[in-house]
Amino acid sequence: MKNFAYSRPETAEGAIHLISGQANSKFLGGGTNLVDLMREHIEQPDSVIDITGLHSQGIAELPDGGISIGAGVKNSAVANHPLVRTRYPLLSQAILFGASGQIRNMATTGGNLMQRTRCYYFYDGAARCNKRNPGAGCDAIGSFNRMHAILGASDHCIATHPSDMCVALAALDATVHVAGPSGERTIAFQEFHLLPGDTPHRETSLRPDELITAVHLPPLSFAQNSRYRKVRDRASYAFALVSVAAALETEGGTIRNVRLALGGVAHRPWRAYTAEAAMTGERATPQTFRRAADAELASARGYGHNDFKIELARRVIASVFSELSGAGGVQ
Amino acid sequence: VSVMQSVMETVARFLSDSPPDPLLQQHAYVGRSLDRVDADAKVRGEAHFTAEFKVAGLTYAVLVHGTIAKGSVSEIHTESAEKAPGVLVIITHRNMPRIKTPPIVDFNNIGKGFALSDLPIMQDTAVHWDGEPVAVVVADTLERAEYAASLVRVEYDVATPNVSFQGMKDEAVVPPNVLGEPSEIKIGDPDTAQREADAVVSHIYRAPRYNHNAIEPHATIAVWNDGQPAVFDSTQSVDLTAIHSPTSSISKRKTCGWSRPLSAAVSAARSACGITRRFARQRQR
Repeated sequence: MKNFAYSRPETAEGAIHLISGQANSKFLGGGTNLVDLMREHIEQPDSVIDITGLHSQGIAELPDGGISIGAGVKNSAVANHPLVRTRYPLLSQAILFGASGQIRNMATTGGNLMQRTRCYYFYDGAARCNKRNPGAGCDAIGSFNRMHAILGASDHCIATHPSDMCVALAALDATVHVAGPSGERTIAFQEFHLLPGDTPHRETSLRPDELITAVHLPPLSFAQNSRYRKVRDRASYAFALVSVAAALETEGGTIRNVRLALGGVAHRPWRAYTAEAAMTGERATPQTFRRAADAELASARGYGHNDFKIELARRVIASVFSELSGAGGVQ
Repeated sequence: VSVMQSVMETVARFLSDSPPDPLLQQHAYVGRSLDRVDADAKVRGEAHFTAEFKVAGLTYAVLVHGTIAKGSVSEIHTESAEKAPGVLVIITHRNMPRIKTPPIVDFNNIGKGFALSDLPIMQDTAVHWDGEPVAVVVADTLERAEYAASLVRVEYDVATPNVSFQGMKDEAVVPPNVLGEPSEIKIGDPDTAQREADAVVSHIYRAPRYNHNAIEPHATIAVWNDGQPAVFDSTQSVDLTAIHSPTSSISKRKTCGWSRPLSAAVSAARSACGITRRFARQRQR
C-alpha cells in the first residue's frame, strides 16, 4: 500500500467538497473491497475520504410505500430490516448469500454498488487487464475464464460484477440517489452499472465527484413472492457462477407480472427484459419458463471454461420460476 | 471402504480373541468426547494466534513473488526499495543463505526430518512456478515492508512452461510410497478377472480441485535470545518444524538448538492454533 492522505468529513457537502478538490481520491465506506485493492496496489488513491461519519445510515419507509436505504447502511442491517424482509425478501436473501457475517457487518450499501470485479487477471498485477491498464489487452480471453461473463461482454473485457445485492436491486427497479457539486440527481439502477464495451475501466455512470447518498426501492407488491438463488462452487463464501433474482405474480395460472435479473453472467447485474417479455401474459408452466430462459440466453456467448454457464443459467431460471409458481404466486 | 480397511477386517476375523492391550485403555482417546484445551479461550476470542504474540523489536518480512511460470531471474532491481522508509534488508538469491537440499518424504527416517518438496528457496536464479518468491523485504512495519516490496522490479529470461497435467504424464513416475503406504496395492489377479468378466465398466472419474487451507500460513515469528532461536508457528508437527526450520540451518545449529524455551514457545503457538497440547508436553519432558 502506498502512502495516502486521509480525511473524515461529517457532512455530505464536506465529502463532495473534498473529492472535488483532490484528483485521484476515493470514498471509503466499509473498506471491504477498496482496502483489499489498495493492498494489492490495484487502487492507488492519493487521498482517501472516509464517509462512515456521514448521516446516511437509516432505512425509512417512503410515502409511496417504497423504502429508502441510506448509502452508509451496513449490508447486514439491510438484510435484517423488517421492511426489507417482508416487502423485498429477495433482497434480504441476496445479501445473506454474499460474503460472510463479518464482511456484511462492515460493507455498506453504497460500497456494494461500487465494488469491483473479482476477475483473477484484474487482481494479478502481472497479467494484462484493460480495466487496470486501458489498452493493455485482456488475459481472461483465451485463458482460465470459468467465472467470466456470458452476456454483454466485449473483446476488451469479460469480467463479471460480483455483487449479489445488486442483482436483487436490478430486479426491483431501484434508483440510486447521488449528490455532486452541482446538486442531486437520481440514476435508474439499470443505467448505474455499465457494460464494458471498449472502456472497461469505466464501470458506473457515477461521476468522479459524486457521492451516493441513498438507494430507493419503489413499491412492488408481488415482490413478496420472490426468490434469490445463487449457484456457486461451494455452499458458502464464494461468488456466484450464476444467480437469479426473481419475482412472480400469477392470476388463474397466467403470468401477470414478472421480474428477473441474473448475477455472475455479465459486467453488470443483468436485468432480463427479454425473458420477462416472453413470460408476461403466458401460462405459468415449465415450458414457458424454459422458453423465456432460452430467449434471454439466445445472445449468450461462452469463452471456453465458462460455456457451462449458458445452460446453467437457463436451468436455474426455469427452476426458480417453477418454485415461485408452485408457491402459488400472488393471486 | 479402503482396500487397507478390508484387509484389516479380514485379518481381524481370523484372529483369536485375546484380552485388550492395557496400554490401549491408558491412552484411549479414540472415541472419547474430549474438550479441546483451548476451547474456552477460542470461544471467548482470547486464544492467541501466532501473529498475535507480542515480541519486542518485531520486524516484518514481505515476499516479492515471481510473475512467470518458468525461466530465470536475469536482474533484480532493489535500489529504490532499499531507499524506502523503514527498510532493513532485502533478501534475494544473491544474498540468501544456502540451504541444504532436504530429503523428500521418508517415513522410515522421520527423526532425520524430511520435506514435502525439494524445490530450492531463492538459492539461484531459476524460477519454477508462477508466484514463486524471488525476494523478501524486511522493514520496521508491515505497511512499509509491503510498500518497499512493491518497488522491487524483476526482469526474467522467460522459458515455456508445461502447465498441462496430461502434457506431463509422460514424465510421471510411480513414487516408492504415498505417505508411507505402498503406491500400488494388488490383490488377486485383476487383469485376468477383467478379461473374463461378463461386463466391464470403464470410466475416468474427475474430482474438482480442492485446496487445503492451512491455518495461519502467513505468520511465523522467529526470535533470537542470546543467539538461541525460538519460533512461534502454527504447525501440526512441532518436531519436523524444529528439525527443518531455516533458523537451525542458518545458524548451523542442528536439532539440538531446539531447547526447552523453544518448545515452550512452540507449545504456546500450538495451543493457539487449537491442536492439543499433549504432544508439545511430551516434547518438553
